[in-house]
Amino acid sequence: MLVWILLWEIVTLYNAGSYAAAPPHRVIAEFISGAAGPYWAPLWSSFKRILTGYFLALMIGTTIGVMVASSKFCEWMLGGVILGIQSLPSICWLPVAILWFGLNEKAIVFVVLMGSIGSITLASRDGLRMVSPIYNRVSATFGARPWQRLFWVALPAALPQVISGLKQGWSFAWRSLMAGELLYHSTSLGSLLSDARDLADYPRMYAVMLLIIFASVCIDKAVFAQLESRIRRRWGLVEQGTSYHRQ
Amino acid sequence: MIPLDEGAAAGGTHNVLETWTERAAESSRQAKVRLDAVSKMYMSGQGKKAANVYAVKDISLSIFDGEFISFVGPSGCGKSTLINLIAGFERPDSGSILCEGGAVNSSGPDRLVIFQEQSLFPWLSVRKNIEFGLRIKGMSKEQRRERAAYFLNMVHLNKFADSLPFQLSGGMKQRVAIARALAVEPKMLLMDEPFSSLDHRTRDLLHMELQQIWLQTKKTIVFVTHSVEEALRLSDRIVIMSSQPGRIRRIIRVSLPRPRDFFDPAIIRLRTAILEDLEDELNKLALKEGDNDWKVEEGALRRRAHAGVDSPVGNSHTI
Repeated sequence: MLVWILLWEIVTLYNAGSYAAAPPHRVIAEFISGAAGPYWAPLWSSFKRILTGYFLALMIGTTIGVMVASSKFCEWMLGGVILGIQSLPSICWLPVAILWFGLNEKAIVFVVLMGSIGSITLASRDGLRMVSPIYNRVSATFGARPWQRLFWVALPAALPQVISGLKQGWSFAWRSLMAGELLYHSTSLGSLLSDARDLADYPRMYAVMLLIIFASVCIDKAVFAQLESRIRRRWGLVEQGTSYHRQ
Repeated sequence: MIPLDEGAAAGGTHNVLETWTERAAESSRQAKVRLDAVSKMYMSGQGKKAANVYAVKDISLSIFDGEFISFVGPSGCGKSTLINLIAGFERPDSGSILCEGGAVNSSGPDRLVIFQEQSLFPWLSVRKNIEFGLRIKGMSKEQRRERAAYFLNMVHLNKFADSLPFQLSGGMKQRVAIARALAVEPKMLLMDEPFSSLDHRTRDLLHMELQQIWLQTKKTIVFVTHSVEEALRLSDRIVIMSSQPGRIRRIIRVSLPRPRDFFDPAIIRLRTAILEDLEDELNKLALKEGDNDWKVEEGALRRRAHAGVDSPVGNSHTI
């Protein structure tokens, strides 16, 4: 890592006269001064959008996933549609969203939703399909009602598989958000980035990019990686040093 | 066939195997489950070769209240199909199954199944697993706790109440599964080869434990196994099945006192007789699953069974 930063410093040094030159020490200085205040408002407003969009995608996506996994008819009706949505880059929804909602928060949230819903739906569908049939039979022999089977057995059993799809959905949501924010001007990370370009403030441009990477990696490590490893450990899917009474 | 007591000399099959006669029994005891000419078919093969094959054919049997009954037979004899039919996982193609006078239409907690494979929910602690059936019934949290504690105690796993399933050995998992089943107070337990993936020492321990639980709770237990020894040790009656199609070949009553020892001469005599009786079944299996000239050597099983007297129990006979 240090080698790359050094290389970057040297390259900018040789092109010192160039308008695009932004040596890392200036980028880092900008990053620190930005982190002291100016970056927080756009970061927060971007976060609100992604959380709203992702939460909606989670609700709608898992519902559709459950429907598709449990009924042949739903699979027949929706299977192709989901694949279509999944293969369409989510920013392509922006024109439609503007048409429907106007150029506002709702449009961006919609793009985020469409970006992440595909992988969440597919992950919950595949996760539910892979649930061992033994758990179904256990619920059957105990006389569980359909909603009890779903919420107490099928969904928890599918969770280790579903979680990786949720993670993927989050990274798609993040991409969609940035694309949307670059096009739609507001208080946000994306706009901060495009403003920096417009004002030829290159250190800030790189600093905002660093911020975006940083925010994304933080969420990934602090939320999803944690969740995933906890689930895997609890479900007994990893060998553990602490396990006792193992034959 | 003439019923003789187990003490009779081991002359031939008929002297040793006390064959059950349905008529004598019916007068004395109440049937819990009654199977009447039950048949179940399944599709075998693919495409044009596909054909309907009988998994079980014309099975008529009464299972009595509080009885420990085992189904034994070679693979493909339909013993697991029978459990699935009684459990209500599958419906018979013909014939009827009555449980306490009512037709069996679906699965339910009155006929609780204990499976061969790992069936505990890995995300729930041992205690929560045992509470699962009670939660489905809508029992209050305090009552669930209390009930779970009682059955945890019964299977001697108090210490592990808060452990997760992956922290338990195979035998412990099956004990939790038994406790989970007993907690909902089923009318009967259907056990589908519950101990077949365990090592012999663990299995021994679980035999003792299951027997104790059976004596204590007086539940009706239907037990499917490959192992003649296992069936002999635990059962009141053993239903010996034959394959292609799955039929009842013979029903044997075992009225030896409990706990039963594998080395008890009476048990060994019965085992020899059963294995002898099943020799042609094994040949049938050999023909189905191997070359046409593959045949079990005459008397080989009998000799192995006798050799078992001075060899460890680990040398179990599975058919």
